[in-house]
Amino acid sequence: MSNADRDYFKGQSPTWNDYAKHGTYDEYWQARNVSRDLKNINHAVMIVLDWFDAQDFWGPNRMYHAMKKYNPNNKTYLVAGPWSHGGHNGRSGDSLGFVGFGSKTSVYFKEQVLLPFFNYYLKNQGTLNLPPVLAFETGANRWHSLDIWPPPQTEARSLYLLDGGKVGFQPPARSSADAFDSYVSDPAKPVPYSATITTSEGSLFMVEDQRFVWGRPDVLVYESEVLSEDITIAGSITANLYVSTTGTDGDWIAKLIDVYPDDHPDPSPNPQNVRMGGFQQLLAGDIMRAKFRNSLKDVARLTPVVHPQMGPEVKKLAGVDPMVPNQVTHLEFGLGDKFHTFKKGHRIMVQIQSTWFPMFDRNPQTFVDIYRAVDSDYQKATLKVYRSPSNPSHIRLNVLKR
Amino acid sequence: MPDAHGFIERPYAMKFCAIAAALMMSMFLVPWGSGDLAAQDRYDVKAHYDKTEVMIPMRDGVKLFTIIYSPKDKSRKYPILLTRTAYGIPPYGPDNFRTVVGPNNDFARDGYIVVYQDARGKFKSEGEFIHHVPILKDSDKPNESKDTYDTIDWLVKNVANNNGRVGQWGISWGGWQVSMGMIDAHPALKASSPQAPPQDQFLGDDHHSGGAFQLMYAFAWMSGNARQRRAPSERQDIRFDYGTPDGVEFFLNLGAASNARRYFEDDVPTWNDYMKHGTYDEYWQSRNVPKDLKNINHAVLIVAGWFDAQDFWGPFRMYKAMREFNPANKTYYVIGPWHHGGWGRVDGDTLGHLNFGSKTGEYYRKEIEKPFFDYFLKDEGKFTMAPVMAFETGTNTWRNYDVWPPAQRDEARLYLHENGKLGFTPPSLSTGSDSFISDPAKPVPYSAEVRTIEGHTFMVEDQRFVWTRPDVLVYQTDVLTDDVTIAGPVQAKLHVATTGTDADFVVKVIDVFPGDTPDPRPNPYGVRSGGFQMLLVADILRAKFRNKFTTPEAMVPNKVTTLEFPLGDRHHTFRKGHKIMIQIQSTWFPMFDRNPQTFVDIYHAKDSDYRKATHTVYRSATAGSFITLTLRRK
Repeated sequence: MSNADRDYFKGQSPTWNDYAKHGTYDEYWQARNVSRDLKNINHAVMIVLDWFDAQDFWGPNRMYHAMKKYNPNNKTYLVAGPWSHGGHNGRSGDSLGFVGFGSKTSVYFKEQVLLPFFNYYLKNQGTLNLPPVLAFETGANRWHSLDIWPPPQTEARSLYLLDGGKVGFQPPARSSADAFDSYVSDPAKPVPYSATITTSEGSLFMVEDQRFVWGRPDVLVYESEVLSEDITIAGSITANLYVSTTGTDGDWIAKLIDVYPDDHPDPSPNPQNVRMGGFQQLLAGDIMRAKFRNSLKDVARLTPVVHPQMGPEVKKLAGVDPMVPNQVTHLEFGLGDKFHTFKKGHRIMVQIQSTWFPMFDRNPQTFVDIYRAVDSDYQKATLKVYRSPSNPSHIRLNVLKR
Repeated sequence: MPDAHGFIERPYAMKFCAIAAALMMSMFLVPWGSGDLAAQDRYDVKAHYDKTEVMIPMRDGVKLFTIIYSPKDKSRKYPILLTRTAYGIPPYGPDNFRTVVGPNNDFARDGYIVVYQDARGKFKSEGEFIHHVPILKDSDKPNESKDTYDTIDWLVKNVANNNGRVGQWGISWGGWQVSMGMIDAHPALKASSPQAPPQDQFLGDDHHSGGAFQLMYAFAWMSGNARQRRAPSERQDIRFDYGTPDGVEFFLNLGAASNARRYFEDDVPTWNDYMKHGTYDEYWQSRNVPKDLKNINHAVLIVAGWFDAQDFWGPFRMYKAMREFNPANKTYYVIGPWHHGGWGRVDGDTLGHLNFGSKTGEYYRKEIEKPFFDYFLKDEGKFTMAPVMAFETGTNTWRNYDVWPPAQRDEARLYLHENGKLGFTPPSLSTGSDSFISDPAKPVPYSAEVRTIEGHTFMVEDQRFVWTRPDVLVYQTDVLTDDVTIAGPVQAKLHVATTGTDADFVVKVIDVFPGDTPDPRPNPYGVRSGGFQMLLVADILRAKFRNKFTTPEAMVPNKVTTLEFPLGDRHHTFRKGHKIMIQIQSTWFPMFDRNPQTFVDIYHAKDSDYRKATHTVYRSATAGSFITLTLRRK
């Protein structure tokens, strides 16, 4: 990472310099946390969240919760639609990549939501029928009016990693004591985040067919049986992984994927010759840099409820902890919220990997300040993901009750 | 969509689905209408030709179904152009006419008697089909050589207005038929054009390479073309339903290659034969064609495509046998930048994302194939083709040679070095190696495309879809400061070791384009040409066959072992500014079946026999690994 400055920025990019200096959630970052300042707000606010936003997905959701917390009586609206970054202002919004949404969701947003909102509050024109939360359910492709996000009619269910590349809602059997899957992660051979050859990140990778990596030996793949009924999730998705590494730091990426039936029809016309049968649509995914596993838990606990600016928590939140080689360690991290139906006939897949390149920088897998790491700090490591009764790695989903 | 050879009218002819797909692909890449031969080759066949359907008796009494298209103009005599095939000769019925007769309608326009015949045991012919039935000396058993002889004999005696000369042509299986007809040939046979003729389906061609099994292609071909029939019929086999568009998924679920039997239910005798004959035994040796290519004394035009995924081995070995056994014969060899059968049907100006700068297919049809038959069957025109015409990719130029490979040549070795380097100087370090784990459960895909049928664009596909895999070793040269032109065989020599007792090694030679190579315009597929890793040539060796294909030998775990194997011929210029890359891997799936990495009869291996193993490729001064290039001398 340090080579970027040596070769390209040459000390001339102040922000880069700041970032390289502040490699943990220290005072620099804590001071820039917006949610803590969102107090005493007393005017109409419409927060727009794009379900497949590769850039700013964290923000609108946290802002919404801060508004609810600090300004419970304010007129705050949340709109969440099936869009890429800024896609709600796009021309149509009827599809993203090869995923169709059945209607022109951006047109609907601009004409039925955005304009009426401003007309009502700035011109006193018309009536505003906007519910507190307007959320698009992908998979089933329909809008929902809700009072609050996430909707309370859900139950938390755990999707466990199981023997034989399976996932299921039942925990690992007793017979699988100490069961794990392992792989070698080599920073010199990172898993690409997309099959597209591009220098700028783009947005379609957020719903890309993951078949371009599922056959790699450094990608663990777990798949459910074919679903016998629809499963709708609404709310947070949390990975709970029990892992170990031969190194002293490591990244873990969990991807939640909707696998289409083998006989799913191709689009017609089909100029790009996509094959939708068995399509592995990325739905949600995120990364955990293991040295932050404890401090990020505190961040998740504290924001936006309390902001510890200049307080005793500062140091704690900026903490880093090396991994102890070969010691089973619990990692908990969110994959972002989603509102999605895995349809009957589909399967749910989880992929675990330790690089997601070059979207994310590589972890040297040695406990160092990565922004000052040199090439030789980057080492191969053997990583394990446990799936035993005592170390049951799983993904926590909020499943809508029927 | 009409098609030059009627294959698209028979969508279930799996052998040619690849070609049909090829036709479709080329249409994506070039403007509509310019890729499809039949579309530009309109000719009212029915207005100018009579059609007759006859059963021609063979010497053993079996009758073969034959369709004869004869010019209505009876004022002249015409030569006979014969094609014999296992894939059907539709349309059937006296009033149904092909849209194209002969290799293309230029033949029909000029006047040829064009004859199509269903091979023994196929479609409307009587008898039993035996795949690549061998020629057994002093045997009364039928074979395709005898059937061709008997057919030609009947034709010259019974078809009106023939000039007593016969030519034969065919692509792929049809090319093999041509080679059978060349052996112990009828004296009326004056010109043969075997096009992509398979010559040995164990040593190379459709179903094996380096002793490894072409699982994906063999499965498709067998399920579509080799089922036992109950009675003669116009109907093609029912197309196999994979249940998914994803061949990787299908063949992973299949597990061990031997499990395919569950889909064939002993209805495919050829599959059972293959499973029985897992080494180069008598079954295969008797089917080797080049050994029989003797006493040939008529004009022969061999056709090969540089990027033929099916029958590339065959035409080169046939050419070699013709040179060796029939040095005085008029033998011509043309090799163009084509996929399997591409010369016969598409413009040939593109393949995948490559552009060859001219319509190489059209050039072949107009300037080579048609003049060849006109000259040797009609005494018309001149035939001035050099003994060898080879298209040089990279510079996109046709070259004439007296012999292949060209006599003016040198050899150069490209050695693997540390840090992923490749260079023309041998390594100086006393130690050095690179290792990877090969897991049969996580095989390296042969293509980024999601497909069940092999296709052909993978032959020139951008290898960036796998180069970052931990089980793919990558070596590349510095940027070339001069053009490097190769003309001839490319060979690999590796020093390897494995923790298992058998293993596959795949070596891929790749042309890496400069980072600033412009993208195609228009660019509907979003191809990024900068840094494009164009597969140029590659092949596989199943290590147990490293010494003899007849006698498999286990690898000794962790013992350094020499592997030497051919990757195929090429005529290509790596341009100045490009880099040469080598990728080494141990799976190439599902094109090839997986090696269990334990020394077993793979065709009877169980799922549990397939194990992970760690492979090491050495690159030291004493145990170097390299590829040998044949360089054209300047």
